[in-house]
Amino acid sequence: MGALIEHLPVLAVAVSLLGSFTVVLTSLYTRKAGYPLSLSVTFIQLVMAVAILMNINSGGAISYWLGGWRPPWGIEYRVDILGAYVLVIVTLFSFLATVYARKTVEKEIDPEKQPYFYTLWLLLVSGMAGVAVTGDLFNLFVFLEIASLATYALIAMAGKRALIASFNYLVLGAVGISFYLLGTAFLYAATGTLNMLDARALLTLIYDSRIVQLSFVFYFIGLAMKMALFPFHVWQPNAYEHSPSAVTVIISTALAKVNAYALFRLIFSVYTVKFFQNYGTIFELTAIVASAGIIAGSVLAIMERSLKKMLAYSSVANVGYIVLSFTLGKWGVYAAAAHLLNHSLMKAALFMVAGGFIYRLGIRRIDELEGLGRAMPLSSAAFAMAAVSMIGIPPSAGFVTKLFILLASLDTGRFVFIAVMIASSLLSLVYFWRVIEILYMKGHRERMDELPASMLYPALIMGVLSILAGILWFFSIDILDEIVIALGVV
Amino acid sequence: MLLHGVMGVVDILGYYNYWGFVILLAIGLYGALACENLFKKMVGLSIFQTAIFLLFISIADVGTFETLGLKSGTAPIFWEEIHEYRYVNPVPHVLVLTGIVVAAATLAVGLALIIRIYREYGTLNEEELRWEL
Repeated sequence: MGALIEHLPVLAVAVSLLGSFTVVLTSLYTRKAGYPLSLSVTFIQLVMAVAILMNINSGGAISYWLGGWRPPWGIEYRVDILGAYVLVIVTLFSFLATVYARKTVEKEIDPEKQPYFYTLWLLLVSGMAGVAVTGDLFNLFVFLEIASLATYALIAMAGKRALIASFNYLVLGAVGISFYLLGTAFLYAATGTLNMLDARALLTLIYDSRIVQLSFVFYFIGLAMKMALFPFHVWQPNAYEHSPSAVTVIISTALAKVNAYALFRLIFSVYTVKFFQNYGTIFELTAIVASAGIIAGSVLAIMERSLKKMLAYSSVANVGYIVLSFTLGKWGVYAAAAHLLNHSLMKAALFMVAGGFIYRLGIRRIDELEGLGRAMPLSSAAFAMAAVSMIGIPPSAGFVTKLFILLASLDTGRFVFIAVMIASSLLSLVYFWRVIEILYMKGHRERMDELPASMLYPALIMGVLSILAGILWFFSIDILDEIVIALGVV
Repeated sequence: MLLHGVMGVVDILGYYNYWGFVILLAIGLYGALACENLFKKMVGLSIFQTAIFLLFISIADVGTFETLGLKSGTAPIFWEEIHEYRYVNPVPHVLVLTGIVVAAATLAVGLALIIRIYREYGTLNEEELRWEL
């Protein structure tokens, strides 16, 4: 058993890579194999991810040397508690999105293209899992690019307007990822290593170097473009709006978190807090950009009339929360780590139901939702629970994040972020309440069939979990404690 | 004074590959973000990525053995000039090789999308396509 655990990091990536090629091969004989294969592969990955998380003792990490080459020279897969936690998030939401995908794919994608949809789907999952496990800066670039290329094609599969949305995403995504590569080039020029652990040790000597500072700026710009942080968010609403429903679910939950995790990893494991203590201005600017994103995302969400685009702008605001948390010391790390999961829980439920309305009724606009609260009570309940959680009513998922940010602001004495948070909560109350009001209190519709079980239950489970997340976090807070200790933030 | 100025120019020109990197980077970024034609955007993107590869190759040249204080090396790539051994770090070359593959894949996906967009809308102008979204 002990021997198997050591191989799990690489297996968690390889399984879906193999699965994706298997889907292509089976498509020669049958078009039906894509879904069951994807479902079983993502489930196996989820089991592996949980096994890794259970087997990492505090402060420890599983290190896997690819090809047996020693780390600073060879590529190392290194899973510590944060990596394992993100791997669980990625695999969990990939699995749920796969369950959800079946019906929407049958409806939205040409039958002859369905096998290729699942091929790209598994390629995306494998890229995301790779980012979570890798301990090598260049390897992380390759995995990000695998995930991104699969995503461009998946978005474009919806045809028509999705083509333009996908192209815009491709240009900005590729520029962003090139900035990441540029940052890697600068860091390599300064340290001569690509291994994260090695780079961390070597950087301690040269924090003063302009090259090192510039490399972080490039990393930040690149990843901000990838995760749609405000002013770089322009590709995101259209990409979320026009892509197939299942793709919206997976990219808004798993892929967005993977990009945020990459920045998380760089800030705390490579550059470390000491670097930013010397250069407070970098953190100040980051906090200002993130706060602007929180407010701007919320305001844009209020002005939006399409349901999926409104949720997309809400994602812009929530990415702002995560990035703001990075700058707020120890409790900020609690907030950021918790929000990686919390936001995925809520957005999974919201986008699953939004996709469900499109699936059943073809409704995209918010004001067309009238009366659906009575017509489809369970689906609407899933949406309402997640929406209430986004607003941040205790003991919901959104509340947990906001509580941690409150603690962080008090702890670091930067009260302006409490104001930002309260303003954003009020704004999110405005735009989510508008949807709930239209769902439940306006118009009247006859009772109609609920969504198919494979779409309804994932959404309901996520909705209930996002309401109860506060209680669940109370019992599993030690994961966050261990992440903070492992990153050495205290 | 004049000599000093001339030497300064020579010094700057000595970094010509880095200048090439900066200029290509700027051209590429401008092309990718500001051009209205989608195809030109892809060309700009390619130039942008190529500029980064040029930077990688430039930093691979670590100089002579003497400047490094090394007496011998086991690196796979080095050659003898008249007075010195040039030593080139192989790792960035490997990275660039991978990077070229990734860039080619991005270009392929982008061009495939451009073909589909042209068939669907009959135009590749960004302004005209923006109204379709």
